[in-house]
Amino acid sequence: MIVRLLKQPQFLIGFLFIVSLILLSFIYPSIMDVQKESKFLYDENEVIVGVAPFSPKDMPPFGTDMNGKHLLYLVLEGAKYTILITLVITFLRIFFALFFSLFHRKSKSTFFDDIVQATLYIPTAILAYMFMVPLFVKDATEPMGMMTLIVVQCLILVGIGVPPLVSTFSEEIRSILAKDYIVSTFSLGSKKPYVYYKHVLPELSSKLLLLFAQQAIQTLILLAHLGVLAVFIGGSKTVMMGDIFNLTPATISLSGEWAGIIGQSYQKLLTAPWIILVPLSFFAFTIFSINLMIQGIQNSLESNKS
Amino acid sequence: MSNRLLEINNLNIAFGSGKNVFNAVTDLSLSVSKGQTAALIGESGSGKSVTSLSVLKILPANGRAESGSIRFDDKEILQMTEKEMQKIRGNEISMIFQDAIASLNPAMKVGIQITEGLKYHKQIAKSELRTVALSLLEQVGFHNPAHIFDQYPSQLSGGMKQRILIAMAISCRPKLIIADEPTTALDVTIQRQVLDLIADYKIREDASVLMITHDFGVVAEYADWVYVMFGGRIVESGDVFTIFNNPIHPYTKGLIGCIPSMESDSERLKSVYDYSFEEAGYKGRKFAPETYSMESKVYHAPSSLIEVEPGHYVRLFDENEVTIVG
Ligand SMILES: Nc1ncnc2c1ncn2[C@@H]1O[C@H](COP(=O)(O)OP(=O)(O)OP(=O)(O)O)[C@@H](O)[C@H]1O
Ligand SMILES: [Mg+2]
Repeated sequence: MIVRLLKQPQFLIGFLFIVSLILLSFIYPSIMDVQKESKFLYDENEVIVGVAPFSPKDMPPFGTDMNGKHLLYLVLEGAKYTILITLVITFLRIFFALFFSLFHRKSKSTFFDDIVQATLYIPTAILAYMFMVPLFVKDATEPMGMMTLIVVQCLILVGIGVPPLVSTFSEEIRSILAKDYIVSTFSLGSKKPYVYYKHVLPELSSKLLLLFAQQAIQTLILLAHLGVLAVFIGGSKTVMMGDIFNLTPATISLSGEWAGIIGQSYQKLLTAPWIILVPLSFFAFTIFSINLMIQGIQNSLESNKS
Repeated sequence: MSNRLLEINNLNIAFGSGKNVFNAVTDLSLSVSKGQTAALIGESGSGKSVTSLSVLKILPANGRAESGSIRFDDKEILQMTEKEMQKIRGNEISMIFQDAIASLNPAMKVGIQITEGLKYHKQIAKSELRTVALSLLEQVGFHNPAHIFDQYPSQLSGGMKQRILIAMAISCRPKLIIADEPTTALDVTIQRQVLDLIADYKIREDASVLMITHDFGVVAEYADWVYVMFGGRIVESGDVFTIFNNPIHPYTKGLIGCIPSMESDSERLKSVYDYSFEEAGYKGRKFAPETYSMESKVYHAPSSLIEVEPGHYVRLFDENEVTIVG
């Protein structure tokens, strides 16, 4: 399976992009000449000629944000958090959903299904927002530390993704169990655990990889949306920004993930659009890579069948 | 100890619930004697498969046996727990399914699938499972069992797959084999081969067979006893000679008439429908049900099986309910 996947060019391209992004994110400080900040731009005479944010034209390749932090490094730094958080959330979603649908299948509750169906029409970002706001209120009154906050936030993001997945899985399992060859093994005296282990799970697992990729995309999109709503993974702090005559409060993401970069500079969309567009296009490229991987998986599943 | 291995009495099977209840099988009684082959014959949708599934208690989730009894080896199957049933399935009663393509897991080697039943029922060392599987493959006519063992179902032809199913079914030497139209999907030359395999097993192990079919030619050749089923009910039953020599119910006559004969000079094959309404009744009573097509209305007045001669039963409407017109 894995070998066949690596032979799919689309899968390989997507896979390599993501892997190299993560790798770079960890090792860039040691291989690049890192000058992370340029707050001011000087001319030959050491006279200040410009103040951050700088556009990509002034500070290639991606420009800087309001504090003069180079977006290239911000994005690289954030890549590991963004992708790893996404992977963890996705993995946990699939894991819990699988667990519930395997062990909770007897109660074929249409009530549960109806509720899930109804929530499918609420944008997940709003759902997550509703759950997260109380969390921030609590955090403001009695701080719980960044790690705890990240864990709780991830759990929320996992939690809102599980119910729809449970209904997907239950549906899938039900359709596998209705197949003739399942009836056939039962007619030979098979016991349920054996049938699940030997017949249902293998059939499900080919779909699992696909679902994983799809869920990863959904999670990324959800993170981006939450960033726009100024809900940052790992919390935020409000600082005063601007020059002394024009102080404005701004929220800053504490972990460096991409959504945070977007969220904290959202007001600058018109004056310094690159601050938003750079992380946004990284989101887009990552999602695109996962989509390529999905294509590859689907191709190899097709060739598997024939 | 009776001579009857399987005895079904007044079985009713329904699907769905509330307003959507659908009675797939009504008041069905049949029995299979030891060492004999009973045939259950009837058109598509008459409830043959449902009946056979209920014997193993593997009806789809929305179906259930509502009343009646199914006795196997003098034990009541409908009273058994799931655990007791698991010991019977495959071990004492096994089933050969209609659709061989769908009945094998496409992602599993056929050799492994053959040994599934053995794993549950027989104490066989893992290392020996393969040997047993190879000998089973040989029994069902494969000359190169070691090669077949490692094949996936998609690499085998329809007839080969059907033989794999037979190997699975006989792996634990069951006393009863239920063969649900094992040859429908096969071409005529291979049909014989498959049916002979089942017949051979029956003779070798002194086992019994419940053969489900819609082909009276098969019945004539392999069955000892015949049950003709229509619309979820038995409409005629008897031993195979009686049914062939003296069919009484028009539906049975229709089915027998469908076997093309060399002498017949009619221009086209007769179909069951040519026989509908041909006869008014039997000794003043109408045949039940009234029509022979599932699409049109089946007349549901009370009816019962009447013994017209020893061991020969025909379904007629109850006397007082319907009088024959004309
Ligand atoms: N899962 C189910 N839910 C509802 N009705 C069902 C179900 N399975 C079978 N039935 C109904 O039960 C009746 C008998 O079906 P069955 O499969 O026993 O027919 P059959 O005699 O085996 O036909 P065939 O010769 O085509 O195999 C049919 O009318 C069918 O619609
Ligand atoms: Mg059938």
